[in-house]
Amino acid sequence: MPTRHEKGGILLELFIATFILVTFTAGAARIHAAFRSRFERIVQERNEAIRAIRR
Amino acid sequence: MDKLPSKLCSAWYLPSSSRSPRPSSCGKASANAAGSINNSRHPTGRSCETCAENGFLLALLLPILVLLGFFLLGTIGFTERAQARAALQARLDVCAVKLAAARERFYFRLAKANEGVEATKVAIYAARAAMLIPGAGEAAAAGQQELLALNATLAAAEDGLWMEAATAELSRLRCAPSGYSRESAACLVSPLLSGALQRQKTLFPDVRGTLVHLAPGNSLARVHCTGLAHAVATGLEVRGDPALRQLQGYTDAYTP
Repeated sequence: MPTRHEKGGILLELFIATFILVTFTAGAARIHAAFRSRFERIVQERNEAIRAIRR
Repeated sequence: MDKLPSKLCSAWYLPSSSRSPRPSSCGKASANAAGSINNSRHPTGRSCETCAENGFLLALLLPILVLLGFFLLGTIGFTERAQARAALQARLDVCAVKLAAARERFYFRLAKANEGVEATKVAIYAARAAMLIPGAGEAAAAGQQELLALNATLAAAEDGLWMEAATAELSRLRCAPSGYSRESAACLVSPLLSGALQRQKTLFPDVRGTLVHLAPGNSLARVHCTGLAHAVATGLEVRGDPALRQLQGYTDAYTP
């Protein structure tokens, strides 16, 4: 049986692992959202420019 | 304590006073931490399971972190590159449409101007034919002079329109940078407007004919814009009748 301190250590490691994974996922999601929004702006500005030229 | 533990196995979070002596097999177990967990019993009877688990978690966490970091950096780099291509492609599309639309507008205006030149040409022919009729000669001659002046004026206006459009086209060949794309990009129009037209011959050298397209066929111009940094390009083709009586707009040159 692990001692109380060892249990604490395992929990701490699990917490660190979870924190890193959650932070990574949240960061990746934010980066993805930023790229997506930028891409949408590029396409939107292109379409608007072409529409303005054709008008 | 001298046989204790590699750093993976040592319970670094424990105060030194609370550390219990580890069996010598513990260090080995954690050294190959990702491998099998050594559950063998130490001569003292104490299990090494917990120790190996701690090492296992730490040993697992570090490679995962490194892998995630590489994955994240790789994905960001790849996405940035893909987005730069998309931005350049959008910019090239806009530049190509600008050139094709300008060419189409010019042909439309020229077709209208051609109608005037054509009308004066026909009227001059009629006036010169009327000059042969006895009695109508003087009036026809006077009218013919007016028509000749009008024909020359309209033709000169066409030439001016042509030169203006050709100069504007040259200035548009350098595809200007956009907010998202700053790489070098350039366009090519084939044939260039300055050499794309010729004036039709008439029955009389002093009468000026209409401006028509030199190249036969339905293709009036091909616009090709390309980026130098990425291998992306946009091609458009302006179509219509070479006599410019009928314009069919511009289409994607890559679509058959």
